[in-house]
Amino acid sequence: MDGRRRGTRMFPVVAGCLVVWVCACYQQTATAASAAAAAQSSNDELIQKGREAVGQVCLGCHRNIVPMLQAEGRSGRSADRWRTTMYSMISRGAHIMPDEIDALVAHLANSYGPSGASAPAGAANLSGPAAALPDAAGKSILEQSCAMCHDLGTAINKTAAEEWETVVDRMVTYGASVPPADKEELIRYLDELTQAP
Amino acid sequence: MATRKVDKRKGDKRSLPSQPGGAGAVSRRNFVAATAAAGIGLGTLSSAAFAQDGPADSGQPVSTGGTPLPESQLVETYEGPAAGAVLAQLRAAGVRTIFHTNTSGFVPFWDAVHAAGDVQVINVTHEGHAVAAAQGYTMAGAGKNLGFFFGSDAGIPNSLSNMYCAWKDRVPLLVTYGGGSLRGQGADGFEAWDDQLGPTKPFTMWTGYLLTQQMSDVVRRAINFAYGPPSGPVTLLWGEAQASQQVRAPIYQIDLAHARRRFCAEPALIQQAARWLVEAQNPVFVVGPEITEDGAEAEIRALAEKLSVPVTETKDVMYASFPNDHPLFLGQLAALRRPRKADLLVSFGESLRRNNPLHPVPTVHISHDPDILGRAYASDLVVASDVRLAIRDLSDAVDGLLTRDRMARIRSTRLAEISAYSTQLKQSREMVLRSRFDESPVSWERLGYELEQALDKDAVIVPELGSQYWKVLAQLTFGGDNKLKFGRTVGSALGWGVGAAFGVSLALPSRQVVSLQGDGGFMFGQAEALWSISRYQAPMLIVILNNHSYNDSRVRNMSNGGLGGGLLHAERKDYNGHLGNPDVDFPKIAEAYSLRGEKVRAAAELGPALQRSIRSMREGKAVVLDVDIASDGQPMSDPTWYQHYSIADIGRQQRGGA
Repeated sequence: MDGRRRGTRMFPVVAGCLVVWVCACYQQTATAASAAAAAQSSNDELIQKGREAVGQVCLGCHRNIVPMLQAEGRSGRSADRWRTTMYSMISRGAHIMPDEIDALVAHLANSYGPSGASAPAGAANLSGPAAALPDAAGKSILEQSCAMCHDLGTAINKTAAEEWETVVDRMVTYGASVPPADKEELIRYLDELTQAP
Repeated sequence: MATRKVDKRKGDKRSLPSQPGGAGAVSRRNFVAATAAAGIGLGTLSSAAFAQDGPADSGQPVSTGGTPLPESQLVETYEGPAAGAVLAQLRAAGVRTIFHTNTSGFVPFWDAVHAAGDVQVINVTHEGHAVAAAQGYTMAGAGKNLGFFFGSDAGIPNSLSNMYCAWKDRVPLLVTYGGGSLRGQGADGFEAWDDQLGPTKPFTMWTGYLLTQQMSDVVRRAINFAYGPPSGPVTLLWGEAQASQQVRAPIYQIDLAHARRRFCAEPALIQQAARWLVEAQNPVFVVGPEITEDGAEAEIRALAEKLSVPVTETKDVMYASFPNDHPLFLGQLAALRRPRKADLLVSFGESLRRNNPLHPVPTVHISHDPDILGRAYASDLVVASDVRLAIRDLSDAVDGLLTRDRMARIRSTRLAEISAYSTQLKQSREMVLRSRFDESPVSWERLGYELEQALDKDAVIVPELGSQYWKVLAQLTFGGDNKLKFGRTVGSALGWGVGAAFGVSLALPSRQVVSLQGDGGFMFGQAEALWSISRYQAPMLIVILNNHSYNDSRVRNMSNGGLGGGLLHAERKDYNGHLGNPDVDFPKIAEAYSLRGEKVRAAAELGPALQRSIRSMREGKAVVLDVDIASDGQPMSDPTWYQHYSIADIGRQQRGGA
């Protein structure tokens, strides 16, 4: 068999290997991308869990939690330092469950760590629709009193205007920190948000 | 106080008895009846003992036709120097230990002490530590001890800091001072000022003067005021009395265990509280110092277990009122998670002075102290009662409202949920302990762990630490048959703990007593308390948690500076915190008082050092253990910076370098 016939017979094999190799690379890339996406999604879920946990476990002893976290954020605390802080709080009596520690660290490092050092209060909650909240009297109260536990972008869409006072009162019984002097302003702001076209 | 002779012809019951030494002897029956008619109670004597019918001086027991009334319980009529009447009245109240700081004006009283032969004088070298020791002695006495102090009027200022602590803690004390006579009023005389007890008034239940002819009456009255409720220190001056003058004085038997007046709640209030408790889906209890003061530990545990109600405490907890290893115990009330499920809070003897973290959850406040009820927080239902009696009444009321089956269902459902929750909290704490186990300087958690391993199960802890102290206490088992705790004083004035621990050791000589001090708190003049610890061979352990800093203040300054954007915060400096340079050698201070001292620098050294300490304690010699502890808290400042200033350098400069 001469060289040209041998080469002609080998071409499909080489082409096939090439295709397989490309597919494998693509699959590896897709798998890696998929894994990265899954990891990112998992990390987002962890951060979300941590954000909710801050509202659940910190507010009882730290009424000034938002400005405290902002002050911490200015120094850009690393994840390790946040873990040390969480351990300290557990030892001092905070009701943090074992499976919440990583989530809390993830959220705090993300929002108040070296990269999130300049994040405003509850920044993780003000993305998307929440970022478009109008600047008006009451917005800062909403951010300070509600963003600890709620994703503001979706929470404000759930309630009719006339129900906000009932909702706010209920949140206070759950432990939300809404100073009495701020309550009316907050309700007015929420009413206007809900009624806005 | 004006008195008249008893007119025996008219059976006059309105007059006080004739002056001692006056005409005719005073019969017991006459005296009892006359004082009762004048409204003077006689401690444990029942009202039936006061004969309201029949001639006051008949000498015959009054009979109702049935069981004869009890005889008067007047112990004796004392005759002798006036100062001796004070001691006689104290001894009739069961007082056999009295605290003293250097004086020179009490010779008749010393004579009485010497003559009695059964009174132990405890000398303490500073009035403040003496008052703290008297307080610790009273707190640890389970209602049977009363701290009595006598010292100089010039020492009044020294005693004030710890008198404030005792007042804040509602602990009954008798604090007396020599001098203070009205004869020198306005003269600015030696060691004198007008209204000498004036500075003590904000921190006392009563201030008074011992009077020659009323020494025992004044002491009895002082005890009455001290126990109340409300309870607290009473201060007296000796200066008006002629201590060596011969007197006749009535001596009243006083049962200190029942000196605090006990009363029950209005039944309707108990019924209301019981209904709310039964109807609540998620009730929570908070326990305060009155649980221990009223001896209600067993009762609160039984009530909590009856309905599986979670039990919490506040930062002002002074005693181990509820076992902290119980599955129903959830720690700090303020730490309860949100969203709050609690729909009822019942406070048993907790003042709620730091407000109610569960507001606006409906709140029932039960206390034996009328001064506390409704003061800091407007509770929905206020119940004035001895706490032990209230718990019993409440428990009975609950039994009347629930069937056994329903009670059992409520109990088992809640217990499963709360146990699972408290178990997870314990796992979290365990995780933290392990993560820092081998750190050096020693972690607070490791110190607590090693103390729990080394000490007797029923040791006694007297803490005077800052905000990190929960880290140590969470590793120790308190309550029930386990460890006792006295402190930290709610007054929070540093300079209390070592003296108080010494007083506790006096009251509980067979138990291991451990004083937990920060290095900063110990340096609030507490080394002097070691003299009494050495003199009286109190087999104590004083652990100094040494982070070379007033760390709590440093952290708060930095946090507040961070919030306000302060200049010092930006430069990471604070003027207050660093206590090193000099680095105080606490073991040497211990040795200066003939005690044992030891330094611990690393975690691995701690266990063996504690074992050596305990051996020394068993041999009767107290130990000061100086432990390098982690500097926990906000690391926002340079922990070793301080504002340098050298008087010697300045002096040299002024002398031109010589």
